[in-house]
Amino acid sequence: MSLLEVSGLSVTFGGLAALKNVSFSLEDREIVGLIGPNGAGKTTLFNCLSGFQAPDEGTMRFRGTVLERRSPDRIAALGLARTFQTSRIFRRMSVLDHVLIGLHRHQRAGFWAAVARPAWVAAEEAAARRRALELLALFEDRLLPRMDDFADSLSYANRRRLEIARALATGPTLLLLDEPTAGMNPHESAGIVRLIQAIRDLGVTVFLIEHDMKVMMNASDRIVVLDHGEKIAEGRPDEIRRDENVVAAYMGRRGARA
Amino acid sequence: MALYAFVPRRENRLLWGGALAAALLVPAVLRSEYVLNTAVLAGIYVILAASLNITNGYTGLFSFGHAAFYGIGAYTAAILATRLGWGFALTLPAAGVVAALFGAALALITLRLSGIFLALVTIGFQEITFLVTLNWIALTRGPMGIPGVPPPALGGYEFRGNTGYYYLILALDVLTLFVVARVVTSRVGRAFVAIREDELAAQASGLPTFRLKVLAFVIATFFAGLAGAFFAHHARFVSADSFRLDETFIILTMLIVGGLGSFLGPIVGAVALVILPEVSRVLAEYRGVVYGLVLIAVILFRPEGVAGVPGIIQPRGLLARARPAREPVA
Amino acid sequence: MLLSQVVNGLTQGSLYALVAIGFVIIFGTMNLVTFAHGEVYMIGAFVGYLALGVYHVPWPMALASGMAAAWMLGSVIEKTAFRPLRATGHMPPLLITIGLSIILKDLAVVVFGAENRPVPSVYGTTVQVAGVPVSVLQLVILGLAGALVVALRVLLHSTKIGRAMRATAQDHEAAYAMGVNVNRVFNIAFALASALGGAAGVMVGIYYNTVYPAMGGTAGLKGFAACIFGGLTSIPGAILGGLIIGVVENLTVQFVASGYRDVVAFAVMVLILLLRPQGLLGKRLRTV
Repeated sequence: MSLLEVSGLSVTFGGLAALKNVSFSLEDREIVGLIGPNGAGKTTLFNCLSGFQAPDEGTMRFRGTVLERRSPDRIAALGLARTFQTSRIFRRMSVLDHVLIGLHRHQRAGFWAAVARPAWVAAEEAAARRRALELLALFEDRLLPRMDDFADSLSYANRRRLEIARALATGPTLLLLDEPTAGMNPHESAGIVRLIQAIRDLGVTVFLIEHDMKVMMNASDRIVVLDHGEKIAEGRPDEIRRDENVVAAYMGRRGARA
Repeated sequence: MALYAFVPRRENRLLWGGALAAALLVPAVLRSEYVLNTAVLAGIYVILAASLNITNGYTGLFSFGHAAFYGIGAYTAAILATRLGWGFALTLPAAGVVAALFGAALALITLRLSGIFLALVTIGFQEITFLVTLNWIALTRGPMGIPGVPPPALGGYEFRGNTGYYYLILALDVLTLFVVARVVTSRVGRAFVAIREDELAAQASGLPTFRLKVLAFVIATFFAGLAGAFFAHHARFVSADSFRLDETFIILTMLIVGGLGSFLGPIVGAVALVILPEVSRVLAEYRGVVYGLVLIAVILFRPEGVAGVPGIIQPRGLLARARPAREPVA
Repeated sequence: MLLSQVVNGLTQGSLYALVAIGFVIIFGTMNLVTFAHGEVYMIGAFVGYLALGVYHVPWPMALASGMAAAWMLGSVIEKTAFRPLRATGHMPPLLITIGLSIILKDLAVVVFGAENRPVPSVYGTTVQVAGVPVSVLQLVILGLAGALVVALRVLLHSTKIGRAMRATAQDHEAAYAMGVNVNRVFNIAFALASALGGAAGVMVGIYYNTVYPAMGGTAGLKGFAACIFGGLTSIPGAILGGLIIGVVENLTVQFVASGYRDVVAFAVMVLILLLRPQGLLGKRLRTV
């Protein structure tokens, strides 16, 4: 059974087809890129997978479990995490607390435990904090020294890293990254590529939207290409680079000219 | 450390212990009955503002119905005390539980709304509660109110006189603030703030946001109910007129002036706004005008209030625009 | 008997509708909600009371002065409370209007006292319309409300400022780019909405022969309930909502119990919000 099976996925917004009969699968431990010109439907696909958009047709199965009509938090609990194209951080929460929020589902302390504070609550918090620090350490010295700072004091690039850290904290087996290197210079982007590969090596499949082709080609094992909501190609990076349909899609809507 | 981050923790327990000790000494130092009565009033509003802070401050929900739960608590206590002869030790928790049950019911029905729609629905609930209370004469004696509520008595000791009332409300304040402090420094409190900051990102991170919002409502309304019970036994007379939208606005004003989303905010706001009109005869006569002006001044010049978390009222600063109703994720 | 209650309801409802239209104009143009509208209505009512009851001018002049006072008050409110904060979202202006409503109500109590003030009667006679007894006053009120609505429509569709208002309501940035003085449009919209509220206030005072400082609170909320009917952005929806609430209220008084009269508006509002927040006539509206 594949980690993720998508078949016949279609979404229409008021007459405009954002996704048309999209089908593909993702396996364990791979990095798959999702590319396509602007408006191709990439983020819409992410929204469907993560429960923020109900598809009009088609199914999505995550390890056999149907994803449609599940709320985003249930999907996260199943092991599918995501970041957002426009960095959605908690502006007035500390960096550390962001990661602790990602660990929320792995903790148990509710209202009564919060008030009475039996010994296990402190132990649970301490364990969570240790795990959070481990995750922050994946980002070298970018986030750890700032762990008590409010997130809105972070640079744009660090905010994107923080989102990834928060998503990782949920303990996913599939991680959807929406343009993780946006706003980063080549050096930083290379760091993200290394990070994505490290995540993959930890057993997490990464499904990645990127506009930076270099990142995409370097990081991905496979690439899925969307254009106008339809899948027009799928394959290894070198195959995709040479695919006529892909080139045509990127050259312009009227098709490639010699 | 920023004022809004100032919460009772193990590290600063001496400071808070000192504050509590000072509070305990107030009746000994300030012997005026009038001052003590004002202090009791402030104590009630501290509970109301601190409980409203849980929903409106920490969780970012626009609840405008708080006075209705205050009233439900007050009426519960009054009815149980005058009809069944229950003592304060029973009417107090009963009032909290009944208010919380109504809070849970309202939350379950309405929390899929947000923003102005949630505000309007809670106002609608507030007014309906008022009207039902006014008209259900068999239960509430309607516009005549419920007189003759006995003063609070615990274990045979009757709290009469302003000093007694003061210590009793102080105990209730300590209880409320203790629970609030424990909640906001916990996993649950973190979750509340995440929901306020970005509910969609919170959901994507695995938070069961609906359940958490209902929990926030239940906590807030429980303590509003407790305040209502105290009010009933203190004023000894309960009437629907005390629990209308005006009262919610007053509580909200105190919370905003003191500061949303922080531990100190509601305390500062309640104490300051209860004391302010007492400072001079003129101010007392124009209480409403004073409150309105203070609220407007705070919003215009310092929206975070005295000790609140900056940015809650102005989510995106000067560049904010209302979002169009489309799919939630861009 | 039933029909005369319907007439009562339509009369009352037309006044709710005027208040509701005010909300729609403000929300539709500026995407903002005001909680001070009820108090503007109340101030208009008191000015009308002063004109009619103290200075004994003819009632049309009282109506005009109430509307003028409300217009000016609305203009001042927009300039001082909304304009500086317009870009900060909906919450700050909303909270300011809460402050203003508290201030205005308190000032009215201090200046006039909290009790009811009697407003002299106008048109005490009754006529028969299709077998139903209708008071002349009711006919006048219905006529006036209708005239105001027609005038509003003419303003919005056939005048330059009206077109500017509608353009601004559609997209205020585009309107600005086309040379519309958006600040002026916002101010006029707010003042116009306030004037309609003031008109309703004066007429309510005349209809019930009484004004009192607390009259704005419930009226404002009922106006809100009525405009929710149309989803906050539809004027016909607001009118329909106002009329329906007025009629159902009166039927409730007749057939259920008079004390529960006010529950109708709030129950309707809550039900619509829960079942169909965009109202019965509104489109998918902009969420606040």
